[in-house]
Amino acid sequence: MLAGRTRAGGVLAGVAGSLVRAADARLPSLWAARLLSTEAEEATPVGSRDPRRPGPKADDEEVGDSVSFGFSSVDRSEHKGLVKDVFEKVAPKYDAMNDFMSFFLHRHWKDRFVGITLHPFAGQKHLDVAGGTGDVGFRVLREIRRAEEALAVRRNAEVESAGEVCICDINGAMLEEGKKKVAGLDIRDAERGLSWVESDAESLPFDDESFDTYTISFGIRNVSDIDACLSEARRVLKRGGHFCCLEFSQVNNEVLRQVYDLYSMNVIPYIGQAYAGDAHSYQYLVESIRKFPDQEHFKEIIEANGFRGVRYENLLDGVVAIHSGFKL
Amino acid sequence: MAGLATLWGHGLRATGRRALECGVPGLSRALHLHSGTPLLPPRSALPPFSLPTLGRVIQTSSGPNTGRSCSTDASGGASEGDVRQELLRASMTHVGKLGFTMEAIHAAGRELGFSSAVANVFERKEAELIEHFLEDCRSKMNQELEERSEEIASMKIREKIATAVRVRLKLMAPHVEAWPRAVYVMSQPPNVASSLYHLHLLVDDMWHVAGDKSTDLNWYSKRMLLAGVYTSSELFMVQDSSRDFEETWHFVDRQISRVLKLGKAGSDLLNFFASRGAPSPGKGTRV
Ligand SMILES: C[S@@+](CC[C@H](N)C(=O)[O-])C[C@H]1O[C@@H](n2cnc3c(N)ncnc32)[C@H](O)[C@@H]1O
Repeated sequence: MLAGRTRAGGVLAGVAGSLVRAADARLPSLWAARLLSTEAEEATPVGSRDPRRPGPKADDEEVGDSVSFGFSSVDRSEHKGLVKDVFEKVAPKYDAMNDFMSFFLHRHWKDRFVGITLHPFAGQKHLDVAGGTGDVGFRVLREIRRAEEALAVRRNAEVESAGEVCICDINGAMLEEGKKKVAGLDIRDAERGLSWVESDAESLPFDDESFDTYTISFGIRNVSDIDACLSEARRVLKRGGHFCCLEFSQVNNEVLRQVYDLYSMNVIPYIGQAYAGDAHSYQYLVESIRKFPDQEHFKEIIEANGFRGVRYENLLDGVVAIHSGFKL
Repeated sequence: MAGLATLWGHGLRATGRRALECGVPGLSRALHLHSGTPLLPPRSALPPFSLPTLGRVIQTSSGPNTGRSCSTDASGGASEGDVRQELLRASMTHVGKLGFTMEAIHAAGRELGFSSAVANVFERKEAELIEHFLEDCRSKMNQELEERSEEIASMKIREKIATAVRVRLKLMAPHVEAWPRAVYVMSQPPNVASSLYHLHLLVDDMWHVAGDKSTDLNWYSKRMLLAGVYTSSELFMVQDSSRDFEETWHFVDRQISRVLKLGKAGSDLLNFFASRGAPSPGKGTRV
């Protein structure tokens, strides 16, 4: 069912090594040309890259009640179970695999996402959806606490840990991995500031207008119904609230894109197999990236769901993009 | 004085009229300059310009319709543009206590019934509040100078310039304490081009008030020199503890005298070089 294309190890291990350098985007073009000429034809992904440019609502590209699961198309009700399955399997090794596969870049992306785009403040009430093992949620709480300390210094008063972060995920196994990390966090009042909720992004168990900010990081492309997810986000945000999304996107540098395709279609599932013993789950991750709308289209989808001041920023030529918008 | 000397160096190199474009790429980008377009055109030719637009020109990679055109629609809510304007206005009432900071914008947001998070509509954060203040001061300066136009008409050019500088600096007086941090923010790489653009608008207005109609090379050197005078006076002012900034006003006078001497020598030199190529005598207002 999955268009699996794991390839023989030898070649790939070599490619993986070289690609460490490529991730930097300052790839020497000569080297790239050589690599592409020998590898490109065989390694083109199964399923052609369709130009995703239809109207704003995310639903448009789905036929009937089926949604894409990687490159295959499955029933909407089945999709959720499949996604859940994927993350259940990868949960224990999830953090290490992230570092491994993005060459630690995901840490830099998340720091930037939280520190600059979200820019937390004292007393903030934050919701991190598809929060998984808490990577982003912890960062947000850390920044909130920092802001609270700064405020206390300025006012010459006691530090008040008023800010809270709720980490929400459809998958209990991911949340459990996250909870294990709380004790070791270097964050003031971490325990008190965190809550964990197992829930689907498409129907959140929170009252209207209960959060200042909402993040979804590497999560929205896994959600079966993007419109439902966005309208729920808007519902639970206060007026003036900020929606921020970090997600893999479409690479707009041709050389980097080809290398990236090669890497992600072949090397990632391979590492997934070798390290986490599960190539299919990682195959799915890679395919779902290709299926996700490009930057402009996704921006239109966010706007169509009622957000204002929507903008995006590409990191590393669009390997990932940060979209954000407001409930005004 | 070191700063002025540098500015002056730039002035001399301006013979090619492309010096600034090489030296300050961000600025020329912000001004939509292309090779062949005269450097910093006279103000009548400047494109209509609004502050948030500059932020977007420099910063954003997103498409042309970055949500700015949104007005109230079926889903309710206010337009982003309106919210920005309201926020800026309300934030200024908190600057006295909180400085030009995100906290001031947070407070304004809450006051208007929003979550503090709304402050993030300013992608370049407090820099956009500072730019709002700069624009506001400039328009207030122009207004006051306009009201005193008869009085000013009877002045000598150096007095006209000194008056403009004083009027503008006085508008900053209520916020001198917050200003050093604002200067720091505006000197950060993402904000440098915008800072220079605002400085350019300011000195251009000042020369306009002084009745300068030059279109020759002097146009450029005069503005660079006045920019130096203004900037150094501003820095002097934030450290000035004398009563009613008396020391600052003396400083302004001294700077202008110095620059006028320098300017005379400089424009003679520039005109000399210019006339080697094409024998057209400089027609700048004599200072
Ligand atoms: C790639 S992980 C991202 C984890 C974390 N946010 C990060 O950046 O490291 C994607 C997460 O989305 C969750 N997820 C998938 N579908 C979801 C849904 N419909 N609602 C909520 N979470 C979902 C998965 O369980 C998984 O933990």
